[in-house]
Amino acid sequence: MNKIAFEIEHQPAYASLILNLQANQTAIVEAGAMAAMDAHIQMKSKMKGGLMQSLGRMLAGESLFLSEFTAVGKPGQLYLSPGVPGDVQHYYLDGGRNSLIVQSGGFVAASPGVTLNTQFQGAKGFFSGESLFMIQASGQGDIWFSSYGAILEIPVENEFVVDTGYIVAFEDSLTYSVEMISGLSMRGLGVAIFGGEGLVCRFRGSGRLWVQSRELFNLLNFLNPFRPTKSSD
Amino acid sequence: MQYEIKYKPAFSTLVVSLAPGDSITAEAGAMASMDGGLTMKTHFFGGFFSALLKSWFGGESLFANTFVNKSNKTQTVVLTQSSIGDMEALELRGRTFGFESGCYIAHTGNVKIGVAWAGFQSWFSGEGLFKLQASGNGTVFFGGYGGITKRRVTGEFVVDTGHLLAYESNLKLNLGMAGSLMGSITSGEGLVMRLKGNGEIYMQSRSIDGLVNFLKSKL
Amino acid sequence: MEIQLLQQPDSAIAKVLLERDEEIVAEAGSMVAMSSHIGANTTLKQGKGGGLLGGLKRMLGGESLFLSVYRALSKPGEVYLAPDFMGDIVVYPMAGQELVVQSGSYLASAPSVHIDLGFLGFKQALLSGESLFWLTISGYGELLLSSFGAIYAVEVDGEYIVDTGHIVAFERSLTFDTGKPPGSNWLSAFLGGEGFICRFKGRGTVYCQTHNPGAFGQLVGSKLPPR
Repeated sequence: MNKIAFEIEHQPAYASLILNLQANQTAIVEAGAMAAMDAHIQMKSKMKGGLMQSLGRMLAGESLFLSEFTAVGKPGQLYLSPGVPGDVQHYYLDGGRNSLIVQSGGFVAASPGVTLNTQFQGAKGFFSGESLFMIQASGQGDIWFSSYGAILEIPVENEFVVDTGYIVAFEDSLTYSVEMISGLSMRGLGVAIFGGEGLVCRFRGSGRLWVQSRELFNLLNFLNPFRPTKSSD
Repeated sequence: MQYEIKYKPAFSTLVVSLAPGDSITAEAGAMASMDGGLTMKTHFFGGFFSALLKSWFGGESLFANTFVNKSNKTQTVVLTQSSIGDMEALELRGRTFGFESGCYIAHTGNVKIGVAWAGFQSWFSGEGLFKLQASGNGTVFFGGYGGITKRRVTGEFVVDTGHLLAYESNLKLNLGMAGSLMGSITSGEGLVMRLKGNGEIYMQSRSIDGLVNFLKSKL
Repeated sequence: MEIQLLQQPDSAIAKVLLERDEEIVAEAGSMVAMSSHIGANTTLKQGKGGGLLGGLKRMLGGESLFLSVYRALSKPGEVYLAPDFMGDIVVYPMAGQELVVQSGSYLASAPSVHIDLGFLGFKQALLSGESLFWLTISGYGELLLSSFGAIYAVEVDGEYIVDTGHIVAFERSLTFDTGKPPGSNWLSAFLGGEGFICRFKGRGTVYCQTHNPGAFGQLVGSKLPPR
């Protein structure tokens, strides 16, 4: 498998991924992430592999539209930018039994040898409540994922608890379970906000865990009053 | 006048030290804090009609503020932008640059700020009929959302419309679709700018539209 | 407790190391991760009143602060806290003086720090029509403040002007008044976007943030679908 050469600029606040594709090399990229590219790079949109079947019932508005970008005839440069401010992290899947679980909003790009799957054991746990959507990435090749805010790699020893809104990715050698801590829930306080479920993920075992330093629901709740109201024009 | 762009690239902020008699002009709302001895004058951004055009079509405010040091000591003013992100100080040196709507922050020196016709295609893309243009000899401070990358175009280059910040005016711009029509709709890669010629461009590594699209799916 | 600040200044996180049975009070929703034996409780602090769980007089305009208390049960533990906005965190040691803090900038504090709502120096209206409100902090212990953007401290000795959307906190030793920038009239000040400024006089520290949440909120929020 050819590895894709890359650079990451503007870390950690506005990381931008630059893929240096060799002649006729292809990368699978999340829809809308393309910021700039050489003119001879061709783009084809596709729904990746078995994803069509395994997507089944999509959660409110979550979708994973993927495009294939190929440098036709000669090497080309592709600049990719995630939607939110934050960092980009590279991970290499070596084709073994291990896979990486990534928050779907964080997927940026991967090489064609990587398979993406949404139906995996434990996936259901994340669905209860917020529109959290995790993808399992396996196979052999490069994968790049992004975060909202900075990425922290947390070493898990024994047990560790993470608020689900802050999870970026983790190796599935870790065992995990999603639960609600009532002492963290804002539900009983009578406020209408996004999130506030008090959902956490309890990790056990050994493996790498990436956590982000900011949470999207806080941003959404802050922006809500600034949205136009339906009665205005 | 001396300046420093601090807290790059995440929260770039322009800190300007004005000697007695010095002044700097900035877009309305750009002042975060300043020494008590500075005077601020609000005026229409380059004349009434020009200001109207800029506001309606160029995306800039009708008003600009000029900060003048009428005291006899150095005074400092801290200028910022609505968006978080990077800032650049562009020394024009006689060249003319076009700026995407909203990215102008301030200028100093012998700079003429005007509007230029951007073409109907630009309007269809939501960018506005007019673009802000700066020419002359002086410094223009502009910023964006994300980190700023400078690149020299020789020949042809494609940039997503939300990520282009500034470009040398001798470059030819053409709006287009990233792929085929169907491809564009399903991929989310909408409109792109195809640049041809020889000149400098500045790109930002995030776009407000990118953020909005990302958040829409979570609402 | 020990506080470490990570990932400064772009999207800072506070890592709080608690001794056995030690507590920290934090803005609700700010917990990123924590040791598995930390206990959590969330409550609503409204208006004037002593103590965290007491004092329920309704404040003007419905200002309220949701707080969570984290306690390391039976052994030391750690809690990672994150502010709402991209930006920095500063640890301010409270030692008996008073600090006025913008409500959105409060992140966390030791239980011995006293938080009072209802500072009525000035009511600020954000472009959305919502109001900013201010907290009066007193007591002893660590106070964690967050900013939208980078934080810069200005040691005022004379006069200093700050746009109110850019104020994180200021020492009560300063006198202040809201008004228009010098040399302009009210209309032009408002049109010039600088209508809401605060003039600080005397001696003391003002903590400023480089970016204005209201301006950014307007920039992005106005493009979202209507609610």
